[in-house]
Amino acid sequence: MSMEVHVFSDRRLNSIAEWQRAIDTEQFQLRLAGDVHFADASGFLPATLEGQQTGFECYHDDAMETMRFLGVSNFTQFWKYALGFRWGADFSTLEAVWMAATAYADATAGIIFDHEEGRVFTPKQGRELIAKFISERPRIKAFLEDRERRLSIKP
Amino acid sequence: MATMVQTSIGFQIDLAKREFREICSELDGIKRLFAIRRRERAQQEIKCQLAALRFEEALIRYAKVCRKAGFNPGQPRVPAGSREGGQWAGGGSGASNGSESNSRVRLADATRIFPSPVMSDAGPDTIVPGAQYAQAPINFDTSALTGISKIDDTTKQLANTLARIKDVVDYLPTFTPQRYGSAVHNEFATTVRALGLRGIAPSDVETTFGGDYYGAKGSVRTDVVLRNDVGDVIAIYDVKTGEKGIEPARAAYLRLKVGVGNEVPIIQMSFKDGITRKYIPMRKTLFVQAIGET
Repeated sequence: MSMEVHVFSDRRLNSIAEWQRAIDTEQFQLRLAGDVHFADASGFLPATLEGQQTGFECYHDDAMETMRFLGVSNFTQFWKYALGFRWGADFSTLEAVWMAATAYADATAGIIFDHEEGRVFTPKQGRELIAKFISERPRIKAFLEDRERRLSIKP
Repeated sequence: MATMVQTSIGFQIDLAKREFREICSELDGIKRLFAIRRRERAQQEIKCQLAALRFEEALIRYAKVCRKAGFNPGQPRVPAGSREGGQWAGGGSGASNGSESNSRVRLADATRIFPSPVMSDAGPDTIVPGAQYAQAPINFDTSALTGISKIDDTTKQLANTLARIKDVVDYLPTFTPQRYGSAVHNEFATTVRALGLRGIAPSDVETTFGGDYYGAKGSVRTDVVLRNDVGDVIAIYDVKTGEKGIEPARAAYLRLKVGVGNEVPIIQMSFKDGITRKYIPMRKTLFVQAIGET
């Protein structure tokens, strides 16, 4: 799984339920699997986005080691905790990850580090990005339909 | 006196005329330069369109081969959350329809028909560090070379595929960098599944390890794994479209979950400097390198 974001914060949420409340506060249509023990999360975390099955890998990473790897110059302070999100080729997972990460960062007064752009996003910027993702949905649909058409052309 | 004034005026007029002629000549030069630039731009655009058409044609040919081999990209999967989550569900066709063992169909026919997948300019030659094999330049780090021809040839084929895919995705309307990264990953996964490279079955793309299904606690997914003839994983490939690569700790974790040792290389294919930076997809060099201890 090759796409990644990290949320850095000085405190952690205690449970999936607490995280879900933060997501609900943002009014995102994302539901995390309630039966996962958040403190031990290390791997796939199932979720549903607008009723559709999705999910992402979620890890409690070493904050210092991760910041060093990402470049300490990208940060204005040292953070205690790093929550890693990893996923692959699925378009809806991207939205789910950013919703979950934004809500988590906001609830813990943290920040989001996006590996794609290699920079920090505040929760406010995360919300703006999610709005862009939602506005991009028709173009993604067209992209997928076009690919489907290309692959299904009769011999 | 009058003669002197006339001479001076005449001289100045001549000077002005000369300067005017020089300006005209420079203007002509600039016009020619602009014309050349326009032609070059038009040629570039035609080249881009041709590349996109060639890629599309190749995809169609692969689709035909895949259909013959029974691969149906539209075949549904069992949703996550169940024991069979992520596996192909019913509705497939031909060889892949039915038992679990059939889900790892090796599309050997495809490689025979297309020995050089995705219009590669290069044949299955030995990879040379620093050599360029596709339109988007590819830089092979020596760490990516194993000396095992099966792995090195596959590395080259996958790198060529990724470079071509990026060339095509570059022509899509501009997405956010994050969406763009998803589009590259999505197109790469679909294309590699359809390619039928030897040692990479459709089920070896985005394969679940560390759990019975993707969704099991602790399960992870790899982008692509390469297997030997008895089915053991001999290389793990990871695509990176972002600014940052794979952390060594992550590489170690992947090996642990896949159940392989340091002898199995994790080969990262990344567009450094960020292919999606500033919302402008740029043709960047594709770097291929091994990650972590080997």
